[in-house]
Amino acid sequence: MHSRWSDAEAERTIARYAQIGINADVAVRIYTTRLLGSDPLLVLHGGGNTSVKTQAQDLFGTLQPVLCIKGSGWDMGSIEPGGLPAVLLEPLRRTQQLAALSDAEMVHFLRSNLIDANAPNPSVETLLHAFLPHKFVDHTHASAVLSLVDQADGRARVAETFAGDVGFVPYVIPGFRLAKLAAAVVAQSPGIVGLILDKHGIFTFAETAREAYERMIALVSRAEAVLAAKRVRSLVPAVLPQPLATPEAIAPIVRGACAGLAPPGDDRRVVLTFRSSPLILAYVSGAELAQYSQRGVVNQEQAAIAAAAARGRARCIQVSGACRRRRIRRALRRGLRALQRAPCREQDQA
Amino acid sequence: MVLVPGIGLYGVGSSPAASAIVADLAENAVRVVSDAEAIGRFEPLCEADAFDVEYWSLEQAKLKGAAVKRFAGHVVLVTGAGSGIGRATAQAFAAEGASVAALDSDGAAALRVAEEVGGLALACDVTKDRALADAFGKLVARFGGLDILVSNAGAAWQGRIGEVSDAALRASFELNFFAHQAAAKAAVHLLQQQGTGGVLLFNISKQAVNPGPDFGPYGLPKAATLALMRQYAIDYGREGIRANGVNADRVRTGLLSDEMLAKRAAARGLSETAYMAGNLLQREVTAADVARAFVALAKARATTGHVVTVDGGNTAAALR
Repeated sequence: MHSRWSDAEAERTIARYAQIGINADVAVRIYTTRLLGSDPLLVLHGGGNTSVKTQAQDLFGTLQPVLCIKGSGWDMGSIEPGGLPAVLLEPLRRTQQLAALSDAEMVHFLRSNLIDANAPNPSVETLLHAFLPHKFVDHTHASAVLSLVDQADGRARVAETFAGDVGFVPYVIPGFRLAKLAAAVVAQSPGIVGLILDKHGIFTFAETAREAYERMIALVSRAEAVLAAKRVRSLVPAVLPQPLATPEAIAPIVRGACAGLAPPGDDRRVVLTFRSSPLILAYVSGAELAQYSQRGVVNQEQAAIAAAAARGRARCIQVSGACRRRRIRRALRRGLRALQRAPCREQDQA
Repeated sequence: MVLVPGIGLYGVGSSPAASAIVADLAENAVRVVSDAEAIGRFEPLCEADAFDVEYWSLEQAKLKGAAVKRFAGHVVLVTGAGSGIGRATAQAFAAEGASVAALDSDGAAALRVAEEVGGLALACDVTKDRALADAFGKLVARFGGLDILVSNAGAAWQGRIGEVSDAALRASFELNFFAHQAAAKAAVHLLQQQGTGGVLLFNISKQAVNPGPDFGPYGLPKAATLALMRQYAIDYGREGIRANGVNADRVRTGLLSDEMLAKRAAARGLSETAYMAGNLLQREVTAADVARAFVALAKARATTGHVVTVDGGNTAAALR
């Protein structure tokens, strides 16, 4: 992974936004947020977030310290000033003294400290950004980092990969507790340039947008280098039945089986998007697919995004690609029945 | 997401955009898990923590608000969608959340309408079997299947029935009858694969029951298409496949051009304005009115083998 920073492009962005009254801090924040957001190996569909600590004018013309942080519903790849709502920084930092803060209280507090009352909800990771002392904070769910921390010995692998350059934060659901935990890790190791959050992602921080961005690229590149160097095995292919059906022949069967999930009288339907590539084929044709595909989602945010897209539980269902319609249908029914029996569905209906 | 060994993966969602997001996440998961397995063993967030995130109040809040439209996730194929009634019908179904394939022999027109409705453009002459099979292949590749066919493509041929050339009459039968049969047959095959039931909607014409003078080459195949609709209703009702039709009349479209309008008005001995509003409601019928009838028939769960007239009221064209 290489840095795509360009002084000329950064300056052009700053000049362009200056014309509509956006300060240079926010403009350069937009520039590197888009750089990060346009790389699917770093963030996907509304994932990740960034912030900058700057100043904003209040009603009385006074400059106030604020945190401009990615707002809910915005995509990093196409962020605009409206997607980086300004929140008063001092009240955010004061919450660090609290022993506990519920999610509902936190969201309410964030909203009540917005400069613009119509702004979108600031990210649920706002407090984490606010508690860090650095001016620019970048957060992604880099694939290479997830491959390292989605391991039983994630902490050891992080220590080995990044030496003392990053702090390790054990898994905690985002919100006040995670923010305090992350701030404590940074306070203990003031020299670190980033944080790796177990089963979640990576933060980098610095005093300039360029440095925070390039630290992200450098750390993710180190994770990528480890993945390339430490391969100890590859997925063992399963013996596939022959001949195989075509994606077009299977799609209507899959679609029909998914429609069968809806309660009687409800004719809800789904559409399908088919994907294949050498990497996908190696994965779906692995002898152990039923194990590794069912262990869970790669990070916490993906569970949420997938659920939102599917408006329901996200889970992998495995069917055989054999050219036998009845077998495919049976396998799908089994998979979908298991999905309906999953504990979360019951709680959902309760 | 659905994983198929030897084939690939399907993202599943209530719209092409939603299913593409799922597919993107799936591709990313494939990368992360493959690399994790290559260096050790993939050990993700445990089920309980993943559950907490998914059912987290802050994430659930994001799911609220967006009302699900009636035809979200439904796939609608409209033939002759490039203009007139077809275009209005594509728009009407898209407005109800459907994923729409706009098929037309005029590829540029299909593309325009597909862009309007955020759907798939299919350039296809429905009288050509090979082209129609290709179009259905593209439909399945894009959306995964079909729920509602609006078999609408048609064109008008005129001539006094004893004088019309065999070639013209046969050409009209190709488009106004056999192409309906070809599209319905392909649609039924897909619906059977899905096992979901579905809807076949035919743009017939009041000519099928109330023929006009010198309009036999158009009315005869349309009468056959009315019978075709009923035959599908009879033969496939037990599989939950409904077949219905719309008899529209005097709708200003590419088919009823100004020139044609002048001729038809003259044939009835009326002025053009009187001809267009020559119905019980004394108002001109629009393509959007016809589109609404198609949507209503798609929603009418217990209705099959039925024809809805959209002609402003014409007792001579009433079905008996």
